[in-house]
Amino acid sequence: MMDPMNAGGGPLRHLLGLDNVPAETIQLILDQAIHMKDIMSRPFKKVPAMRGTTVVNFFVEPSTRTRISFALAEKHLSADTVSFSPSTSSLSKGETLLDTARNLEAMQPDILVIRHRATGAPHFLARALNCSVVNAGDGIHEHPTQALLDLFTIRESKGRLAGLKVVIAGDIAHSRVARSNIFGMVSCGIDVRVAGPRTMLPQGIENLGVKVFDRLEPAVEGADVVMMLRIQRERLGEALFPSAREYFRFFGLTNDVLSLADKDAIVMHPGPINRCVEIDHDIADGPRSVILDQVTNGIAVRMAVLHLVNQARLEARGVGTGGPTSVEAMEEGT
Amino acid sequence: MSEQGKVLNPFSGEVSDITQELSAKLGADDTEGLRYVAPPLVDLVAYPQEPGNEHRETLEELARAAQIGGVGLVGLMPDVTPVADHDGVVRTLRDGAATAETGVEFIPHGALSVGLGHEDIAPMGELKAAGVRMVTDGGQPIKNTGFMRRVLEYARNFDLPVLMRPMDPYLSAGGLAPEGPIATRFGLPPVPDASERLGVLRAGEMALLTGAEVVLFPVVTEQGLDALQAVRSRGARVRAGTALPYLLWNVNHLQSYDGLYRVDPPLSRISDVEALAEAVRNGTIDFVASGHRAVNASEKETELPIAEPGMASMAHIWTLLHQISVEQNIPVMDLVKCMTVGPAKILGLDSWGAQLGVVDSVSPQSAGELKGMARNMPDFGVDNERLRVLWDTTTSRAGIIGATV
Amino acid sequence: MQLVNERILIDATALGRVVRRMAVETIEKSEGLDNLVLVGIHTGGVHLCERIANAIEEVEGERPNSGRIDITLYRDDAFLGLPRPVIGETRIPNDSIAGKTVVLVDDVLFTGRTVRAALNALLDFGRPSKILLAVLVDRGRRELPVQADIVGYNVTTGPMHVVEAELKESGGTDQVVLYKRRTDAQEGGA
Repeated sequence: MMDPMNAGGGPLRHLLGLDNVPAETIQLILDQAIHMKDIMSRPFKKVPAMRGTTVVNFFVEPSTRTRISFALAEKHLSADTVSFSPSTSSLSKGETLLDTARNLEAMQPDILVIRHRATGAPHFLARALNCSVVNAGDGIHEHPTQALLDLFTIRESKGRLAGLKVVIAGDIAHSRVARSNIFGMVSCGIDVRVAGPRTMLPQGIENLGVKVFDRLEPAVEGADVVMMLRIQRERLGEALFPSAREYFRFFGLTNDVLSLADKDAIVMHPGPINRCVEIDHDIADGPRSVILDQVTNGIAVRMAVLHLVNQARLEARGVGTGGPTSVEAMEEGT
Repeated sequence: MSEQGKVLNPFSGEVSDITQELSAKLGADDTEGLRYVAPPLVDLVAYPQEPGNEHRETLEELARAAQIGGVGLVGLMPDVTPVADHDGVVRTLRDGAATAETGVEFIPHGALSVGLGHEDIAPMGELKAAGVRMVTDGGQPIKNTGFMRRVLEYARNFDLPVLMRPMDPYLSAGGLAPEGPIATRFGLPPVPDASERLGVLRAGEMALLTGAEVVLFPVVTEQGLDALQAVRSRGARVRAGTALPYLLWNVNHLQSYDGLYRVDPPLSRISDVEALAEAVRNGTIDFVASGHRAVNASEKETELPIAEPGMASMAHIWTLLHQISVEQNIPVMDLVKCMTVGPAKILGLDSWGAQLGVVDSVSPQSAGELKGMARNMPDFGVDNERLRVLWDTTTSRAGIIGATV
Repeated sequence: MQLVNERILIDATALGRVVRRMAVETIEKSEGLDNLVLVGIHTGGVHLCERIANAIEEVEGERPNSGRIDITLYRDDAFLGLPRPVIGETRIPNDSIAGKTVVLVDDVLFTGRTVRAALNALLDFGRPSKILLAVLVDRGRRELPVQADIVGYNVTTGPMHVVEAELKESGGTDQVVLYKRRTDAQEGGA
């Protein structure tokens, strides 16, 4: 019998980030996501795996695709879900985050999926609450399920992860997508290059095991994957770049730049896209773009994460209520 | 039991064993556990919350915390509501200690500008007449260097040292961790070293220009210490201090994203903590203060970026000194000097607390007495309940303190 | 816990005969190979399912459709938090069993809970005309009202027994073995 505790790199009680998550755990999630993707392609897209499990989607920061992606993943797994997106965040000083979260917990959820604009908010809640916490993006820190779906998409397209050359380009300093991807990719043996204007490259990023470029062209040379990050126009006021026009001219992905990459290179983007700011029209819609695959894969990966977290949650609660017949039933099935 | 307890006399530098006779005189029921006997401490910088934020801590509670912490004289920052920019508020702050009947004295520092708005110079003559011995920016750095020049010139007129926060307000804006690999990994907005460095250099240049005496607080980085040496070597009258949390905790503690570790400026790197420890040992640092700032639990139990900065460290000072001495390998005597002679000299009270050994009656204080008081302190591996400070209740200034850690 | 080999129920020679007989019974009980789908339950039933399909091909000259089904996401003990989160592959020909005769194949039939889960999983692929159950060994001690239609070998077992079908495809020597579980008390006394 395969021992998933060993093979899987330990229980996933929460998913707060990919910092320090071993490659085996990432592999386990990606492997399970393959089967979850199968479920999505069936005529009947639902399994009873999380029947009777309550998931609260607590989105304190606006989000469309991540919220919908989690909601669909939960429904495919038959979890009971409720979404809560306060119009004003606790950052604007009303009820404290802890009070809000304790109120949510009093409703007895099993898993809390949280998106929050403050770095560390999920970590804070994981400590304060009894339920499992899944980070759906915190501040400029981590967005682990996005990175996992990116890794899944890359592996699906390239057949492997280790040894690939991946460029992550854009506002690295303020991107949680970049951070989680860097942690996950370095863990999986990917050669990661980050590129962007110096105003968007954080100090000490090379200590995370990546190569740093202040121009896009040399970074893209020979790359297997080019991942463009969204440029947030609201950051225009922060003197990070002069204009969208200038940005596109020097840091946007055009066909000329892409021609420097490997001939089979794929292009990724976490969305939503600013066309002709960070990426050219043709490329976003072109044959090398896997942007829409990323969206589909996101649901499968989130199903795998939720299932594993739920399993770890139940394990933590303890066996022993089952009695001997159930243990035998397990062996029979093995 | 552990090693023999010591009597520390920071004025003479003498260290001697605690005798049976002294223990008995101090009324210590557990003679062997008595580890340090020292004069009452001078804490140059604490942030009072009354008037204005009494729900966090009253002046009476602050005085009691100081008593438990073994502090005889507490310097109070002026950023209360209303600001201590005139004699009325200064008197309120000064007299706030009296009601607690602890023997603890408060010495308020005056605001250097009206309302700490850093646009109009505060009436420093009036403040001095009301008992102020130092003026300060209240921890909010002056942006306009021209205004800083005028403040220093005017303060010199009244022989008032000026305590300022060494930082560049623009470079530090929104920062939650020192810039570098750890801030990047934790996803925390960074403060570059250049911020403190520029703060020190700017204040140093202004000290040279005006001849005023500048006190910088808190210095928390190796780069800040380096800049301090540079301006001193040019002849600037610049004294410097750091706060206790920066000698014990470091930026790695922020990985918990626990608001209790939010202090302003943010906790430094391990290399900075080591540099600060060396600066205490070699005397580059003139004083160490608590930087005590009480806040409510609900202001800490929240997202790190909006957690109120500060630690309520006053009542834990002796435990902290002990732990810092052990962890950073700093002789306790060096730390005690930084909390007695160092700050007293800045205030021109050179012999404050020097009448060591005059004891009439002693009442033990312990952290157990903290019930109902501000507790915004992280655990630091020392059982605070075991801390007992023996206190001469007749008068703190002539008192003697024994700490059981 | 330790397993002690008690006896071999089916050896390598007998196994071939048993599989061939199960193949013939499968042909008899289904209405034509065109409409037949063999589905092995992950993991123990999958290799057995392929062997039966091969045996049918030898007899009929034509191979029936076959697939596999994983029941991890359908288990009734999921809420017990057993450490078993690894999901296996599910592959149903054309993603549909609508109107088909399905023969569900497993190695050992015991409590019936696995079969219950497999039936639920199967029914998410459409409405079959009929589902049959084929097992290599029926060891009794059912906890659900489930019975096999095609059985390779019947054996009466106690709660301390474990039956393992050790096929070559999964590293075994093509035999079915009855083990007895040694309790901790026995281990302690030994």
